[in-house]
Amino acid sequence: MASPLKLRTLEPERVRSLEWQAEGTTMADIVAQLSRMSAKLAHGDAGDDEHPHPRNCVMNMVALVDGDQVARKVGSIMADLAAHHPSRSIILYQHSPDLEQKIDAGIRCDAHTLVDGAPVQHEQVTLHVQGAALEHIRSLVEPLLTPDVRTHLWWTGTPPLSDPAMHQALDLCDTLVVDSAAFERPFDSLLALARLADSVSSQIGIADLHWARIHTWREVLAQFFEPPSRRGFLHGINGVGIDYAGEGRGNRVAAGLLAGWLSSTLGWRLKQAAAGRGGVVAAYLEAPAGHPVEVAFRSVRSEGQPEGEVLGLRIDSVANRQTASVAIELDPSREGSAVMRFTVGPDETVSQRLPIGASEEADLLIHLLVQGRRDPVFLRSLRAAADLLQAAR
Amino acid sequence: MTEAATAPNPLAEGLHEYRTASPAVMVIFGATGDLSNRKLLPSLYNLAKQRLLPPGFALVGAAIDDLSADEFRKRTSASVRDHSRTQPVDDGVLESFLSSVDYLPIDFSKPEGFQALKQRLDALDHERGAGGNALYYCATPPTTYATIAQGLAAAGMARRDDQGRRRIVVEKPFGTDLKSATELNLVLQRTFGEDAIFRIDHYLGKETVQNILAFRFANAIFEPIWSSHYVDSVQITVAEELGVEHRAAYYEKAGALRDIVQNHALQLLTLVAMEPPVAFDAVAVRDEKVKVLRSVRPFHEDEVARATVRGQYAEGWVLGEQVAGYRQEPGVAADSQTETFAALRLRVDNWRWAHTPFYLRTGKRLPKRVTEIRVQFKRPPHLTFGREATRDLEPNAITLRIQPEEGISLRFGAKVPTAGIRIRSVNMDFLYMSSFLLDAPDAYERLIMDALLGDPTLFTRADEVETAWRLIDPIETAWRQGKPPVQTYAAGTWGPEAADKLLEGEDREWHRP
Repeated sequence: MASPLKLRTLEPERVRSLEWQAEGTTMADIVAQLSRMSAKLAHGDAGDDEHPHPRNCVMNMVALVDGDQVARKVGSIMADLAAHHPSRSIILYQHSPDLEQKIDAGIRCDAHTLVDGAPVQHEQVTLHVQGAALEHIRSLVEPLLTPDVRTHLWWTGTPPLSDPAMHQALDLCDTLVVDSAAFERPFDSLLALARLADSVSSQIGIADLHWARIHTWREVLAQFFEPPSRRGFLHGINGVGIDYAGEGRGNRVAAGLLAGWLSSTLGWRLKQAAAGRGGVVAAYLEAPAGHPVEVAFRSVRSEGQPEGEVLGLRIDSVANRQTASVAIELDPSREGSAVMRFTVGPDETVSQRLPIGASEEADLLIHLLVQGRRDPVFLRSLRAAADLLQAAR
Repeated sequence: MTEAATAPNPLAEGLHEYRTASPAVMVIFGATGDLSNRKLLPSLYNLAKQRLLPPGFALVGAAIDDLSADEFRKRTSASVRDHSRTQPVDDGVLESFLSSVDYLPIDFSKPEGFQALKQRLDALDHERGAGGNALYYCATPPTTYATIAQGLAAAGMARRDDQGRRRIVVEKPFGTDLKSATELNLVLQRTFGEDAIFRIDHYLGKETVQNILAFRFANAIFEPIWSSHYVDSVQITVAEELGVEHRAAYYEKAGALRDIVQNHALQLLTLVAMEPPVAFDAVAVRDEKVKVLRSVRPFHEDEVARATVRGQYAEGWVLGEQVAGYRQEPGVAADSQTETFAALRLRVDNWRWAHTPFYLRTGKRLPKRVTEIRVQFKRPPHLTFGREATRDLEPNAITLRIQPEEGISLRFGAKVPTAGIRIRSVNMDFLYMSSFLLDAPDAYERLIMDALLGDPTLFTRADEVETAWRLIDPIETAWRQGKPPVQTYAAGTWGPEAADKLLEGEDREWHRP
């Protein structure tokens, strides 16, 4: 994704904060306290004879977490995100539903003044909930939402995609955000995600951080085939190879999504697929022009890259009796950098270094939020990936 | 060309902010100059960082200085490190960008220089697979534009009929009057063709200037009141706190009228006054802008003295520092008549704006740097709450702030919380940066990218330039005859008293930005 979407940094000395914590509290108390704290900050910024300074809020961000480490990480990402999207975030820490009902809560309101004087407010509510209320997530979250702005629900880990509780939670939000890189059983969850995407209202967006991770690969490929003189090669693609980080089968979701994106965009029809040892998948498809397309991916052991991350991509094509090939590989010796080599027809091979590679989760979230609510390209790539991986099983 | 080649790229679907150009070799003439150093080279680096430069892109710096390619790459590196909007600089990206940079010393007045450039470009084109695409950027004094265009054409590097594969970018000012602008247009059009000429007014590359169009045409609630039925007057202010700095040689000849009014201020006027274009494309947007300029009532010579004000700053205090007057600046004549302040009252004679005056003012050494458009509405037809209760109530106004605090402000009346009824004006502010907390791209990034893509929507068309000069020329002629005389104003004030009187005569006053 284009780098202007990087987060701005907030300067600690420009932040005024209010904090509140309570154990064994009620939602009514939490809502009232949040309102008081928000108003106090708005008044505090204004002079004696001024109106309270209004602050923008462009979204609600709700995160469902179930572990201390994840909760801390999500809390930090949400606060970072506020430097980009003035927002209210709600972190719901789900303890056991079998314990006695109890709500512990913390609220932190930060009023930032950016270097250029722009006022930004971020409110973060953290709920630790145990007991039966966890089966009624909506009743916990809805009273805390800022009205009339979009609500994004970030379900960390492996969400219960086939569970009725998921559909109840979806009633709350405009977009569900998951990260298929973190799925415990990537294959099963990917299929469940594809089914969920097909079954929910078209008003609700489904987004995957792992899809955002492969955005740069898509962008670079699209750029390569952009010149009219190369467009013919796009429809003459006959071979695609994708390397992903991991051992054995590992997490093939990103590779599957990339292959699914190419096949669904270019209208390739899946003929058959097979999985071999060492994570190798070979799929045979047919292009609309009738020529075969072979798509292969394999896992490659990689020290520095998270499991499942795409490491390299090669595409071969023939058009008008000329060949073209493009290969993009992450450079293990230089973080965030890749080398692209391409040959078109009789021309010499051109080599170019590109900024590419892993992004922080906050950056990926921003990318998804800026992208909009529903991404039809993702949904059709997800379906194609699910079909391909299922056929290969 | 096959159908597949001209169809939209299917892989681009759904890619956020996807814009990519065909491979091209870009040549910057005047590559060792200030514009190149501060703006163009850092912008190209930032485009590379965003992966917006096409694969196979190459840059050739061309200037009179006798440098090697390595020396120019070192300068480019320093320029990026000093002036890039994104910091810290990404060494990998910079290294990759520098590997596409070359340099050629050139004397624009000699044909052999262009022949050498052609050989270099041909070699690069073959090596990088640029397909014959070239973008020539004139970061040189305006007097060289015609020479460069003719030199390129004579060397076979420009053709009118090559479907825009070879483009030329020129910076404002486009001529110094209608005659010189027409002559320059003719030279450029004979050598490149209008579709391949990109006249940059960098104001149009600013996000907030483009936001004027979004504000007006993406919202249904403003357009119905955007006419003389509801709008009392429009004020456009382009103020600088700086003096003439090191530009005295240029500024003495140009003055505020040519430097700012002819381009930036009139561009803002067209955006605020234009009819909704059918689409946001080069033909529709620029057609509507030209219609506005054609609707502006031309000045007769005797009218200039009544409807315009020109001023020159004397010594004074700006931002807490004492500053010299214009005539004391280095390089400025002691008896200079050049205006550093201009104010105009314009009438837009069309259905929408008849009877709504447009006031433009621009100046150097004003209290602060600010560019804004203020749309002042008429008072309510009846004072429901009585004169006393609304004593402090000013008319509604919408202010579009272009810089520095980009945003939109709406002024309306609200009841003061007391026992009785008293209405006071309050402001509702939208700060662009507090809703979109992005580091917006520099205007040059946007415009270079548009030029590489061949999208001229945000560039000025020949007829636009000429229509603007047609408005400015009679004013310039009258001013040269001392009508009205130059009035001085103390640096750090909002211009000469005559500027206030220009509005007071119509029972209005300048808004204090």
